[in-house]
Amino acid sequence: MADKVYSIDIEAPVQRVWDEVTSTGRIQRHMFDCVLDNATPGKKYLWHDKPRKRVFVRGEIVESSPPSGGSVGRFVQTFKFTTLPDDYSLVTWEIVAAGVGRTKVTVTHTKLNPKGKTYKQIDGGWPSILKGLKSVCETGNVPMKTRLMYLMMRSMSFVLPKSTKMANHLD
Amino acid sequence: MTPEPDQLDSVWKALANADRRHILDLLREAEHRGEAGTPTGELVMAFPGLSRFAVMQHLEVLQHAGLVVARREGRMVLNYLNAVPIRAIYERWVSRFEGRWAGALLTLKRRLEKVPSGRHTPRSRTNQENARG
Repeated sequence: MADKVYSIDIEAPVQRVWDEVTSTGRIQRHMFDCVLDNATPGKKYLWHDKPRKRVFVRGEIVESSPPSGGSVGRFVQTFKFTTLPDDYSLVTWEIVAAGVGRTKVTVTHTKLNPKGKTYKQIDGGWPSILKGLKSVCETGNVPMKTRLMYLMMRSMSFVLPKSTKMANHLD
Repeated sequence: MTPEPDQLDSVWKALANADRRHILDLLREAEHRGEAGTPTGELVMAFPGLSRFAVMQHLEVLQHAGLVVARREGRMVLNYLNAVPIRAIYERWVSRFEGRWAGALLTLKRRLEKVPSGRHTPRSRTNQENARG
């Protein structure tokens, strides 16, 4: 089983970053405009599109411990792309204050099969997500270029496989 | 006109040393083999010509630049390549110029292919050679 680690420094208070990462029921700009439907430990979650038609990632929230007084905030979730046959992997967000108004975010993705497609795909995903998160927390939005890309992705959603359909994930 | 300070300065500085680039290569190769992080001791052994202290210093520069993330696992420190700053460099520099580069390379390719074969075979450098400067 392989691990991958991604890290970024953000010029924003730790609470702001934590709130963005764990926000539910609204678009997460950094997460390719997906909506996280739940952030409660022990419960299943979906990362779906705004119209609730397509699901891209599913899993269970394992832990949600907000940062407090300099301690590391931990948000842990099992993770599976609905488009891929790979097993559930594990994503750990560590969010910690790194100076005044500065936050370090580290995503550790473990329980990955190094031969699986998830292992390859996340290398393209996490750097974009973390850079998007930095942009959202520092400026309020992702760059125009990224928004145009999202628009394009939305218009192409009809090419997505059936496995992404919401009806398949309402268990 | 002075250029504006670049947020990526520390990344460039970290990359300006062949040993440090080699460390990144080693981490990437370990990743491709599916290993979960590379122990510092293994990196030290990969540089028989350098002291443990020198390798640790290189690691510190790489960590400061965000290119390497270190995690403590029991008595071991495991090092991971962080793809985020590399992606930032790509977006800031490469993608901006690649259209032009691609065009220039195509022109070069067409020209070289016109050269009668057997006289001189131009061979492009491998990625690894490039990475090690």
